[in-house]
Amino acid sequence: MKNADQPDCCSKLEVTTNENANADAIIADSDAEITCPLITNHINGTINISQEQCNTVKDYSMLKSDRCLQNALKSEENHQQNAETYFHTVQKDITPPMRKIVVEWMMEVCAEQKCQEGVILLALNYFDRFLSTKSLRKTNLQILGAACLLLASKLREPNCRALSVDLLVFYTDNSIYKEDLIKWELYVLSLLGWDLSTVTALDFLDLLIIRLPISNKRFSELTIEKVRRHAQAFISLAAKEHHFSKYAPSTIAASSIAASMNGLRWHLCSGHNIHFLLSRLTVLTNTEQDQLEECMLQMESIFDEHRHKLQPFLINTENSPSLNGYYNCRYRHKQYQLHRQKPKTTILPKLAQTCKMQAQAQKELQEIKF
Amino acid sequence: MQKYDKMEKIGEGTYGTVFKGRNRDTMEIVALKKVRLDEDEEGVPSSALREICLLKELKHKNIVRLSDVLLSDKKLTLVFEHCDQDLKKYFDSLNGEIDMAVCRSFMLQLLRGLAFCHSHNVLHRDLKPQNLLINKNGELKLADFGLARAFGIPVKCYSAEVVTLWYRPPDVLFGAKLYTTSIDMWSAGCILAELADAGRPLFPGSDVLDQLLKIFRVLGTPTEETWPGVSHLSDYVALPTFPPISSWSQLVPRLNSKGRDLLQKLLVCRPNQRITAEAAMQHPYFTDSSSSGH
Repeated sequence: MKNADQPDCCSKLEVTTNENANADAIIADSDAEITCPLITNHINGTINISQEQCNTVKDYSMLKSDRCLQNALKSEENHQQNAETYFHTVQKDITPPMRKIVVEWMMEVCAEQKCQEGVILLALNYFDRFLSTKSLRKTNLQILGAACLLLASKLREPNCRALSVDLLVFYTDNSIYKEDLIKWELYVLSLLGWDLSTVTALDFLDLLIIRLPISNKRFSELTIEKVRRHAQAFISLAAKEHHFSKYAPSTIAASSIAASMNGLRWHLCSGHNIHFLLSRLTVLTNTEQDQLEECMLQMESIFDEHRHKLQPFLINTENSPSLNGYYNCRYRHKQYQLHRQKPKTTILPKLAQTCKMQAQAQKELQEIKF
Repeated sequence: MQKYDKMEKIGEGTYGTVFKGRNRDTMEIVALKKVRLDEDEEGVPSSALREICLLKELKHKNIVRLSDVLLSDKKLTLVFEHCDQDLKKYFDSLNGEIDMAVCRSFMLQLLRGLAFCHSHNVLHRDLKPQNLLINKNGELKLADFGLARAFGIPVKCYSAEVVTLWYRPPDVLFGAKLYTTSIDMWSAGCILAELADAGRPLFPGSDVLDQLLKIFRVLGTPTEETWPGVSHLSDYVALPTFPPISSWSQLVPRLNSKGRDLLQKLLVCRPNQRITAEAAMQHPYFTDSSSSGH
């Protein structure tokens, strides 16, 4: 449990301070504020997320059942929200950078408390659904985030591990009152019509992966588990960016798998090209292939963006640069030069990385890359 | 303005007290589950939250229907369809005799409800006769989803939450960290045997060890050969080697051979070898209508 002697992650988010601040300035502020030692440890690989915490029940008989996938797709139709539009239509006070600050704070809390991987995605779904129906003052954005975390963790964590009200208040640097948080929980519940059993991209991940021709005798390195972990890294990166919320969770999941398999050079192992894969995923998720492809490309591009910010971390684990790059040669080349220039010490980047998923993602990114 | 009149108390759920109630407009009889919201606690109890959210998604005739959620200042009221009794009370009224057609009908309805839950990624996790409601039309409904949850959750802290031992599978008793749909299938097996025996529980253990011994005396003690990985489970203890019983007809004499076959497919120690709800519904026990007797 988090206690008072490690307050690095606690922060009252100053989304209110500067009326005219531009996006970059706000983001920079928040980055400076939420740098968290635990996350760095994750990145350095000194803390391994225990088996128990990343456990996902793999119930293959159920995963393979078509009813399961169909039900999940049906349920997703009923919970569509679109973060991209609410900034123009519903919200007067809230801007995309403010959303990002609060979302990163939420991820931070989940990372420190080692929440189940699904908690943050679920909480973000409530967060965006709330914001797409109700105009909010920016002073209330963090308490909304806290209430969404409270609900999502109650739903997904075993009773004894759910985030407590006190803990969440603590993580806001005591900038909210306990009684208010409890009231906000009910407020969110009633606004969402008690409808909290939302399917997330993670729920679709296993349902989709098991239906793809991944395993190949000749290339034993390409395992379902690896594809899944890399896909999860893509999902967690996308969760921060509001423009991904125009995609359905199943689309996010399918695209993350495509990006992961593309990165793992599945096409070389299997002899199929990526369009074969995309069309298969298109059929499974009942969506447009253009959408999947577009989403996949966006994931790959934020991933590249992200990777540059991570350079200092990646050096340590880079034992064999010859182990050929994973994505395009142009990146490999660029990185290789960078590596030579930088000393092999870990320098904390400005951008604190968040979320257990995200922390896990870092490990994957390292693996993916070199 | 109150929408419902509160009548007599029916019982206590996993959380909250259940009352009989009547809708003032329609005169419909309902069950009201009252949950206190104490402000210095943690807000809405997670068990209530889960039950509400899951039941909102699960609309099926073999799952108890949640028709309304009322929120007042310090109280949350869940409005359920009312059923006359639960399976436990039904057993008590039987005096040791059950019509095997009823047994089969209840079992099929239980499996239908379960298959629906499982296909919606929901595990019940606490199946027992007290949680199966029965109405006047002989319909059986799964209830009390306070412990239910979506798949994909580690189970470290659950042992204290899950109270009843009798319907708990050996993998969970040995401390298995993963709960899958197979947990519900084991419980369904125990309930089938209990139905066929007019309410006598199959494995009424008094503690975890006794529970395991009762199970293994019937099914035989599992070994690494019959159940790879069993000795690595966190709470595994080596137990005396019992052979499996030779004749299931002694165990459940009133169940016909097809019923016994289904029972043996449900009560399998190794969790991933247990039959699924979907497959169990297709079992010949339910298709051949002429074989209701011995």
